[in-house]
Amino acid sequence: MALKVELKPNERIIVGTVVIRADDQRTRLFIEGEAPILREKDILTVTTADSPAKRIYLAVQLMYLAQDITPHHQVYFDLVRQFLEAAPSAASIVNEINNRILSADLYKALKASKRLIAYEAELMAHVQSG
Amino acid sequence: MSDIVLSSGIRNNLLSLQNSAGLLDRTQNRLSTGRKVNTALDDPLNYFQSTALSTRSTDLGRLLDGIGQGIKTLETADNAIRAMTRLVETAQAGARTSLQSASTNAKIGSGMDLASRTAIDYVAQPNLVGPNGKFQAGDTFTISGTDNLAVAFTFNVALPAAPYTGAQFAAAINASAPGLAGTVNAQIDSAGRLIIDNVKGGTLQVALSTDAGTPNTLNDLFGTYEPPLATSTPTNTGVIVTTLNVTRASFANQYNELLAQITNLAKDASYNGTNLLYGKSLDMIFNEEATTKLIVRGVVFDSAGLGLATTDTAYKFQSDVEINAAITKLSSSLKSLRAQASTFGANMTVAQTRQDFTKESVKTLQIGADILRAADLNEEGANLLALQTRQQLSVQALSLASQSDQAVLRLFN
Repeated sequence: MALKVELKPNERIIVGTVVIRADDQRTRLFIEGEAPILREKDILTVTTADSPAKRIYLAVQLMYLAQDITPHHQVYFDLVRQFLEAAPSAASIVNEINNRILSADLYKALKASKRLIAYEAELMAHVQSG
Repeated sequence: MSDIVLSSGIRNNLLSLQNSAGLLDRTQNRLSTGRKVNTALDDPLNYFQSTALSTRSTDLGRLLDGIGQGIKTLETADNAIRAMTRLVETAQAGARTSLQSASTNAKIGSGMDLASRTAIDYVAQPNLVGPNGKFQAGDTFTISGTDNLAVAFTFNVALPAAPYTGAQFAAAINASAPGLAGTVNAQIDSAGRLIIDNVKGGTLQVALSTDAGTPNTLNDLFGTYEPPLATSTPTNTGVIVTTLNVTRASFANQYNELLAQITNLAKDASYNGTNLLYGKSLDMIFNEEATTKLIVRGVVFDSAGLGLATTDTAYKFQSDVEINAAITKLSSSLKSLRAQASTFGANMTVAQTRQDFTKESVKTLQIGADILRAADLNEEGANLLALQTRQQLSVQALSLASQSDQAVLRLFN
């Protein structure tokens, strides 16, 4: 069953090891087969990953795109340890990310990392508002 | 009897006393266990979360043991393969060296018995029958002899109608020894000479048994003077008897000993009862539900499994043909060994990564379970902000940058 993706004008999407960019009109793609797929709005780069949780997300994203945890797990755990030392209450989300990675479900790990970013924003908002 | 009546004020005091006693107990308990939340009554949400984290960390710890054992098993197999590779290389070196000791097996060719003759060049002038050919249809050669176990053999090769080349004749000799395949080997060597070789190292005799039409001699086959000599000289039969080349025979013995050692190595390569080189497989489980696991398939790598046998040296390496066949087998077994080593290596990398990952997961779970406390969200937020600043120039940031540069993400920068 093909995956249906609709791209806004000029929106980009990663499929496997290539970047696909839509023309200046809405474009609909049907993707079949197994490959990591990531929409532009879900993509973080070194420049946009500017917070501890976003860096964790970036590390998981690198694992997902490469479909290989080997080269990235070291930096991932460095980041996770730093994060948990600063905010132990995030343990259960981190645990879920770990579990997803261990179960080789890197896409779900990425989704869980997104929740970590939201949680981080919440914690930081406490400081900034208070 | 009258009930004791408590005023509401006193009752409140009593209640708060009871509460403080309870709180004291709890504090004491926490101090002794080092945990903020010990029972479900303290803080149900945190308690169950903490218990879940602890349980998972124990489960993962158990998996770690299994992965560790698996890695050891792979290491054992890998070491054995390395040792076996050295043995095969030794056997190969031995075979190559014995090639350098001149073969003394029975061999008839223009280069040997008829050495003084000018060789016929079967490449430049290929025909036996037909244009420039000296033989006729019906001429028949009889090739006979014994192998080194003194078992006699004999067979005929009759020449057909023209054209018929020296190479076809060699092929016919190789093919026409029913049940003797590999006993006699004929080839046109690089100088274009016909060489007939008794692979099994006994005696060899080539005779022109039927000479139809124009009279011929063996010189017409192996080399000749122009004009041809008379039919009677030299004789139409060439005979060569072999002597045993002891250098080659000892290399053949060494070969067989190495095979035995390879088999022993394969049988001894087990760790904890799992021998990946003797047909056992290994399952490594990476998560509690056993949904991700690595199955390492074993191989049978005794000498037979590698395609080597003592029959490779049945004729004691007396002929080049036998040695070259053995060298070919050794090369292909080296290939199998190397391929298997790289498969095990790849499996080991996967297992080690998983091991590291699981170890780190256990650590984070323990942090989660032990430090679990009523979260001070303000403090955590402040910590994260500080971390954010600290990380900007960190090693991890650099590492992420370089890894992103290698991936598809570079297209987004």
